[in-house]
Order: sequence, then C-alpha cells, then structure tokens
Amino acid sequence: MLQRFTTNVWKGRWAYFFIAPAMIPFAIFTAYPLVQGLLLSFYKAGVNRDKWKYIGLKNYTNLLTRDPVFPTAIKNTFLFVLGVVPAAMVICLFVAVLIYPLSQRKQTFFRAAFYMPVVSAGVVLAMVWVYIYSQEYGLLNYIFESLGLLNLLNDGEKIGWLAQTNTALLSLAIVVLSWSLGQPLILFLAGLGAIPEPLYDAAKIDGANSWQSFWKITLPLLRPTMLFVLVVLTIAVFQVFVVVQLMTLGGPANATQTIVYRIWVTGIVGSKFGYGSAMAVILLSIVSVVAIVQFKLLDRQLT
Amino acid sequence: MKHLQLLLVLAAMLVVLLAPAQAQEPVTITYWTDPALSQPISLPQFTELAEFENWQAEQFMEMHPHVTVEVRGLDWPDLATVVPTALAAGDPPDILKDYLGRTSGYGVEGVTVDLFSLVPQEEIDDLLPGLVELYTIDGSLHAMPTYFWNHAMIVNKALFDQAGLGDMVPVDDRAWSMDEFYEAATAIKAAGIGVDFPYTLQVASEQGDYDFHAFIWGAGGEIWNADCTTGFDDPKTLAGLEFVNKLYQEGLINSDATTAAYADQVNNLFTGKSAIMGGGMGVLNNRIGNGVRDGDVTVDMDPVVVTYPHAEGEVPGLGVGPTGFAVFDKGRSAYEMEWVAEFLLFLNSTEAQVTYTQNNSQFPARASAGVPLEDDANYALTLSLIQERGTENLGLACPGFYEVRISQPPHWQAMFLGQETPQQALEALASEAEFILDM
Repeated sequence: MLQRFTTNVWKGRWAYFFIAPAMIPFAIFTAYPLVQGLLLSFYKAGVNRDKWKYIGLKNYTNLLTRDPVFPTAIKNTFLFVLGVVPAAMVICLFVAVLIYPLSQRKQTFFRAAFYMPVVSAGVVLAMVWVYIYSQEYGLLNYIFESLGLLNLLNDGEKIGWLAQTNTALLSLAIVVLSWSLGQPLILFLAGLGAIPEPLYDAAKIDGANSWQSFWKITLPLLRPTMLFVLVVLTIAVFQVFVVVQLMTLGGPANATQTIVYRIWVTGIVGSKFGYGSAMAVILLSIVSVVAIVQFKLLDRQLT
Repeated sequence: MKHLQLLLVLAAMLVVLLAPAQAQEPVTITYWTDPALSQPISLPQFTELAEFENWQAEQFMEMHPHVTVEVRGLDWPDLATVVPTALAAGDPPDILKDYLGRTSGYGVEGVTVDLFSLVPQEEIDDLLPGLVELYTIDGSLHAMPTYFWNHAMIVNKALFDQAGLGDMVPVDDRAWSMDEFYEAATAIKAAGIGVDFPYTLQVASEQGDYDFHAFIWGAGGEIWNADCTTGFDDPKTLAGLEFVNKLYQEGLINSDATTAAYADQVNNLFTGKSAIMGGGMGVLNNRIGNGVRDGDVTVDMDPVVVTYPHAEGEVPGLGVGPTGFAVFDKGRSAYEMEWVAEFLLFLNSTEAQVTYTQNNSQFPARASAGVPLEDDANYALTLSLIQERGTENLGLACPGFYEVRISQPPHWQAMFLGQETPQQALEALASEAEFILDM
C-alpha cells in the first residue's frame, strides 16, 4: 500500500513540483489555520495559552442555547445575504445588458464607475456614507426633505437612518450593495462577450424580439457566470464586517450585529478565542451548505 | 608558588574584565503605550502618538547605551485587539501601559509578572495604598499604577449666565439633586440660546459609559458590587436608569446618542448645542483648554466642575480609574528582567509621573509626586471632591469586566429607542452578565 502510494507520488513528481508553489502557502496560511481554528473551537482559550482547557462542545451549546446576541447576528447576516445578493445580481445583470451594446469607450467608463468602490478604501467610503445618512446634516435627509418625503414618512422629522433599528440594517445593506456591484458587472460583461453573436442573428431572423432573445439566449448562456457570481457574492456578503465596524458597531440595540462582527467582538476584543472559533466554524458550515445548495440547484439547470 | 600567584592575578584580572562585559550585554526591551497623552499641555512638540514615550526611551537609551527600547504607540481600539492577540501568539511586549480595566484581565489570566517580586519595596511603598490594593490580584501586583483620572460633570456656565440661569449651576457645593439638575437642563433648553440638548452623551460604544453610569451612581445604584457581582438587580440602579431615560425621552440628551461618537459629544459642547458633558481634568484642561486655544470652541466657555446629580440622601463618589504599567512574562533571563525593571522604574519615576500628569491633567499614583498642578483651582477642587466624597466602584479589576462593559450599550440604545423599558434592559443585562461570568 505504502509502496503503491510512493510509486504514485514519484510518477506524478513533476505535477507535485509545479503545484507546490500554490499548495505550500495554501497549506500554511489557509489549511493549517482552518484546522487550528476547528480544534480551538473545542477549547476554553484566552490570552494565556497555559490555561487553555478542552471543553468539548460547550462553546457550541453555549452559542446555540445561551448566547443572547448570536442568534440575532445569524438572523441579520441572513437578511444581509437575502437582501444584497439578489439585488446585486439583478442590478449588475441589468446594467451589463444595458451597457454591453455601447461603444468600448463608454463601456470602459461604466466599468470604471462601478468598479471604483471595489478599489477605494473602505474607511473613506464608510465616512462618506455616514455623512449621507447623518440625521442632522445628511444628504439623504436633505433630498427627502426637498422632495417632501419626510412629511410622508416621518411627520416631517429628519430620519436617523443609522440610529433607528428599523432602518439601520437596510441602510448598511445599501452600502454593502454599492460596494458589491463592481466585480459581478465586469464578470457579466465578460460573459455577455462570450455569447456567440450569430445566435442573436438567428433569433432575429426567426422573429424573436429583444425580450425573447434575453430570456432564451442571454440568460441561459450566462448561467455559468451567474453561478460563479452568486456563490462568490454570497460568500462575501456572509462575511460582512467592515461597514458594521465602521458605521454602527453592531447597533443600535444589536440591530446590525453580524456573525463576523460577533467573532471580532467576542473572539478578538473579548479574547475568547475558543468561543470565537466556534462562531467561525458555524459560519463556515452555513456558508458551505449554502454554496453546495447553490451549486446543486444551478448545476442541475446547466446540465 | 610564584606560578600560583601569577595564576591568581590572571584569574582576578579575567573576573574584572568579564564582569562589566557581562553587565553590558545588549538588551532589547519592547514597550507598548496607550494614546492617553495625545494633547500635552506644556510639551507641544509631541503631537503624534507615542512621541513623548519615544523621547523617554531615547533618554533611557542615552543613559544605558547597551539597552535598546522599541516603542509602539497603540490607539484605544488597537489596545483591545493587538495586545490580546500578541499574548495568545506568545509575543507580547515587555511593558504595556494601559488602564486597569484591561490590564486586570491579563492579571486574572496570569500572564503578567508579579511586580511585588520585581520592584523594590520602597518603590511600592511610595504608591497610593488604595491603588496598590486595586492592582493586587490573587496576591500579585499585576501592574504598577502610574496615574488615575477622574470623572465628573463639566458645565459650561457661560451659557447658563447668558440665559440668566447662572444661579442654577451649583458652584458653591458642586452638587445638585436630580430635581435641580432636571430643572436646570429644562430651563437652559427652553431659554432659546441654541442649547438643543443640555447634556451630551454617547451610548454607541462602551467608551461613553461613565457619562451614563454616573447617573446610576447618583441614584445610589451600582453596575458592579464590591464582591464583583453585578448590580443590575438593584432597585436604585433602576431608579438611576429611569432618570437618564427620562432625560433622553424629553430631549435633554442629544437625540443621536445611540450613534454619536466622542467627537460628536465634544462638538456639541464646543458649538453650544450642549452645555454639559461628562469628563475629568483631562477633558477640562486638554480637550476644552486646547479647543479654546485653537479656536475650535465657538461659544463663550466657562467650564465648571460639578458632581453628577444625586437622589435625595445619596452622596455619590466620583468615578476614578487608574492606568498602570504591566510587565509580561516572556521567559526572560534574570539579567534581562533586571533591565526591564530598571526601565519600568524610569518610566514610573516621580519625575516622570509629575511631567506626565501635568501634561494630561491626571493625578499621580506616587505620594512623592505631590500635587503636580497645585495652581490649577479645578485640579485642587477635584482632588478635594475625591477626598470628601470618595470614589465609585467601577469594577475595573473584576473578572469579566470588559465583556460585561461591552454588553451594555445595546441595551441602553434599546431603552432610548423605546424597545426596552429600563426594567427590561436591566433584566437582560443581568442575564447576560450571568452568562459572561459563567463562561
């Protein structure tokens, strides 16, 4: 058995040699911490390594049965994903289809405009958004006031977008959405470019209108891109953290707590490394299940 | 015999030659510091984080050329994250300057060096006994206190005078009842001089909690009891909470308190939107003093120190919190620890404490440092208030202090937003605290 294994390794030595530059850093910086994190989740672990104590599943049972904030964080994270991911997909697809027929120069302009938030500093963008949402001096309240919407929505009172529990999560979701459009748009444009033009010509000859071409040609042939975007975007939004950390600190009244923010607050700030690791493992499990379901569903439609 | 003599002489020479060589063996000490001295008064050349501490380190290195001190300045958020992760990774600094609420956690975890065994007894005897007691965890001195700050109310009396309400500010005994405070706040708001929110507060993060807790102490309630249990089930705590909630609901506290930052609080005071905020001598001299000097204050400013409002029959103490130097156990040799101790004592010498406390307007932990700002009337007044009324128990050395601290703002926010009653907020906090302390 061992001999067969070593023979196989020897046979594929060049393959192993060439993937080593990728695999070694992966093993050190991804796989090892992942395993360590998993192991740590079974420990009561603080800043003193000598006092780390194996406690079995206690971190998990505490999280799922006693922790007063974690269930809210799970709920909020799902709300983020359910709100942001479909919206980003639809907006990006819509914009991509709109700008694809434009000249290369115009396309480049729109690509750059939508991609700008991706390459901009999160802190700067968050500050801009805090200003936009400011109750006293905010641009959004100014616009709503100018349009007479404040009278309609809040009896003429300025709205504290980040200060109210019923608007804070939505407000943050819009910020995350604005940051999430760049990459999918680029991918959708690339996907559109890969669809053979003769298919549209044939459809036109057959009397198909634009709407029918979109449904029958564009959408089916974009499915592989959509699957990729869906999975990547879902994983990214599940990890929403920066906007929470910079704009609301999980408040008001825990209305914007998310799983990763809880990991940060409990695991790092609170120095409960084992407990934080258990949260991370739960997040990993949720994201894995969701990604597998997405793959299964869309894969079935692809084949 | 002659050979033996020669040998002995050579051996003695070797000992003489080697002894200083060993003492001069290079040592590198890492020192991480908080950003407390961000606006020094008499050392304006130090404007950047840790510049003052780097200057101190340079002085020490000049005296001891074989010692290299690496200084790292940490912002408040970094202190709560960088230090614990460094500890868990086994790479903490040799010396950390931070406030008791955090160093006590390290002391409880047993990662700090017992300074009773590192620092000479005469140095410890010079520290205020109450502080030594506070810093002693399980019989070990987990850190060496260097100064303490105070927390009181700062009232811009100029605005009350402008509204013809100057008499409502208790300048005689520096104390007002809850009713008197409420009347003064209501009156200044109604005066129409632009004071929209008489008291400025933030409950967006735990950093504003003393501005909030002080109302609870004023009612005779507690967040932490002397035995390190929490006081969320105390009826007086509820009374204090109901009072502060009433202030918010009636518009006497800034409406954005649930999301405001400390800078917003300061801005409210500087622009006259608010006339009262919480703070100590540091806020009074450094923040407001420098604000007036730099032209950031846009209204007349006559800051007056008063204590927080109290319920009938209650005499609340002042919030007081110390900062100290913790030494982490890194498995250093005795020789290296000798130099760590030497640097620690240099940082925390009487002269250093005087310079430091004069510049951040705090109170030194050494008796020999005396009263560094004795010409400052507010400084002397604050000291006398502390002596007269005592101090409140902030729970800084209690296990789970920090976790319980950060669990509170969401409930204060929920209460302000009308989603929890004060009673519900306290019940939820009691349950959360039980969970935290049980973990």
